[in-house]
Amino acid sequence: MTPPLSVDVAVIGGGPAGMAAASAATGLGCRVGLVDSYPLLGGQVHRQAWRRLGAGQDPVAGLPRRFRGLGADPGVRLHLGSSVWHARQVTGGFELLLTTGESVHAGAVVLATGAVELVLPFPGWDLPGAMTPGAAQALLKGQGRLAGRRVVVAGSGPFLLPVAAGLVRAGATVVAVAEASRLRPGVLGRPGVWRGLSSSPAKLAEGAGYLSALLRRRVPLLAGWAVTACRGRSQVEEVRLSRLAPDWAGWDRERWVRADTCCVGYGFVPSMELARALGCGERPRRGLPGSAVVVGPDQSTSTGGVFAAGEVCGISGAAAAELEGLLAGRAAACWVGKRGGRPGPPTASVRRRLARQRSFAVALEQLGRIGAGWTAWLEDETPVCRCEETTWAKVRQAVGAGARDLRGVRGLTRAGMGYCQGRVCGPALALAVAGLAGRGLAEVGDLATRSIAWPVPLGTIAHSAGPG
Amino acid sequence: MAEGQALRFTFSDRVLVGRAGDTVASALIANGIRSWRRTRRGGRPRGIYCGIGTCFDCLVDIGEEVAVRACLRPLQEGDRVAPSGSVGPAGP
Repeated sequence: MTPPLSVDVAVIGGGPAGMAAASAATGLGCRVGLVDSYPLLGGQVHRQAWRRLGAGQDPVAGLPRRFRGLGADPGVRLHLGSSVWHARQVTGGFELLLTTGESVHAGAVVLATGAVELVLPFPGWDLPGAMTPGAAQALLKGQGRLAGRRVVVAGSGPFLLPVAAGLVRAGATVVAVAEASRLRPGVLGRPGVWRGLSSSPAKLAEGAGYLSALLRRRVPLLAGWAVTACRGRSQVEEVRLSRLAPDWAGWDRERWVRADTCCVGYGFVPSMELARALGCGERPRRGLPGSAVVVGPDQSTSTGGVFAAGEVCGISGAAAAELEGLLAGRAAACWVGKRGGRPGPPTASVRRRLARQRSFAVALEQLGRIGAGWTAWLEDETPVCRCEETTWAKVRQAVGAGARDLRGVRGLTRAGMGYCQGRVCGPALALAVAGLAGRGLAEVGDLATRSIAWPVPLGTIAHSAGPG
Repeated sequence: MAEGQALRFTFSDRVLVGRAGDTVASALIANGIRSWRRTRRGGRPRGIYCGIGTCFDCLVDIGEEVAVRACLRPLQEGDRVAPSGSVGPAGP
């Protein structure tokens, strides 16, 4: 067994929240370990180009200036290209086991594990060329490569716009951008929506910039339309766009468009595996699958010594994540005895900015809800679980046979049992099973409970199994 | 796009060229290869899906390393890339 590395604060996730937490904690004199699965810091939002990776690329060079100090900070140890596959409480703190075979002992932990895209299956969604908007974005920002030449971008939420704009700027033809929600005037009257949106003019301006880039290139922008199928011999050749009925229960118009790529995503789901392994209290998300970590004003969770920041606490965007990271890093430092153990309240300006970011996110969430009738576009043979290739017919049969929750469906159909362990299909399956069984999302549960957070070779497990 | 240094690699005995800064997945895509394994049950072609290491659809074997996520692995000179055998029969 490799002797554990010891740090004051372990930060899991190298996006805006994790980087801000690491900076704050090291600034208060902590030894910090920062773990991320990528070889460079930044997470999804500040993803750096990998251009010079083989030539010993500095893991912070392409980041906004405020994060670059992390690279040379002697108080920060970077564990890049590595994931935490197991986390547990031990005497005097926490033990984290990494996929590189290392183990880290920490006095406090900051969870900044982010989120994954929420996807809804449709016929043909497992053809090569069908992918998430995030996949196209990652290829473009990280590698400077286009996912395809003729692309449909669809789903729901504000993330579709930067993805589509990035693709057209890089020379792809974006055949259409289809947002499934329809912006009805009444929506703006819902509590908090107008105030939330108007609280962040900078974000509205950012959105307007993407829109104008798309309109300049005459990209059709469709509201109330969704990708309901794609087809092709060995990859995507045609994509079906459908104008959705209310609550997405079927459609009244459709057209097939030629495209080699379709990028479809419906927002994000917090990555809860490690939070759950550490026993952190969580809350359901209103009308959306998955749950989020409950945090106090200093980002502390219900597990002493564990703090959380960013999307794992609810989808609020990069600016909020960074502010939360700052608070979490400070609080974690206090937990391990820095500053005399007293964090003090967050300063008024941090609190004010955070409240503004969160109200904007809440408003956006109200604009785009997933229609309960979305399963109308599934066919019997549509694979719902990509790993195990469980079909929609099998899921319906399982519920018909008495399965009342996701674990029951998984047991009968193997959906969620494959390599990704339900990370991809779990949220959609929760929506579908809740609909079929006539139960609430909280009642059908999810598939995020696993003591081994990522697949690891048995040798790594054996190697890590020390005494205790 | 900034051009990285050219890197030669193989995929199932085809000699291909990517560049420094590519992942194995992006290098395959840049060479017009969009699927690089077949599923265990249905034999369906798979390539990149989530692009960020979550879905495991893009698995490849590289030399002696098995079941590597192609979207996370930086391309290296001389990589011998093959369809992942651990999760399905070899070869498209």
